Amino acid sequence: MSKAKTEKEVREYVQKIAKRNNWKLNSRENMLQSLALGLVKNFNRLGYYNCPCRDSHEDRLLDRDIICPCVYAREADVEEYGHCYCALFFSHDFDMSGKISMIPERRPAPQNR
Amino acid sequence: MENVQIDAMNRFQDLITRVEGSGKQIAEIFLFALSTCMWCSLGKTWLSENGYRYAYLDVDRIPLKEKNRIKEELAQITGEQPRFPFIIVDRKKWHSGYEPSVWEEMLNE
Repeated sequence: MSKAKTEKEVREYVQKIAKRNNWKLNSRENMLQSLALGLVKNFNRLGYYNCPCRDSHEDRLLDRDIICPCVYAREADVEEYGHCYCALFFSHDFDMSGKISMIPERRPAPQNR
Repeated sequence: MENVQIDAMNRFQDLITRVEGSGKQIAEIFLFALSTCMWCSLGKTWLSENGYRYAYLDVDRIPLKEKNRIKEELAQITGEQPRFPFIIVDRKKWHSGYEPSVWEEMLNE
């Protein structure tokens, strides 16, 4: 099992991911903290950054498409909806003063992955 | 409308959290949620702030095999991948995901 992560380390990780993908992070601190703590919990339980808003199969291989940043954020969601499924990562032009809502689940059913 | 039958709503009593409401609500509200999920936190807060009495089960806290069974049952209801939080009202109406305007409509029908 990997060494346990702290909230600070997770915040640094997501900041790095946002920068690398030319995204911005959720600027609402209560949301960002909730997501960071979800990632801390998942990493420290599973050993990888399973998406905090999707349930895990508790198997890195089966969960590989939803390891943060998930495949769906990178391939389509941020571009199409302005943010990822969890509302952690946003496109730069997304207006953060407006409503932030859940987006449709793009992940296929297990038998179709 | 067919009843929503999910065994886990009757089992795992020790893992189901019950939150008291402040109104004269009759409807039974049950949430399947994840302890790590922001939308689930927002959903729980929305219900509490609006005075609803509800119960929830964080499915990431139960054993894998049982959890997978719940997800399969939810997928059968929706016909697609369930989103958390998954709300069930009076064991009849359901909605997959946190959308307060939809929840409000369901609860006021």
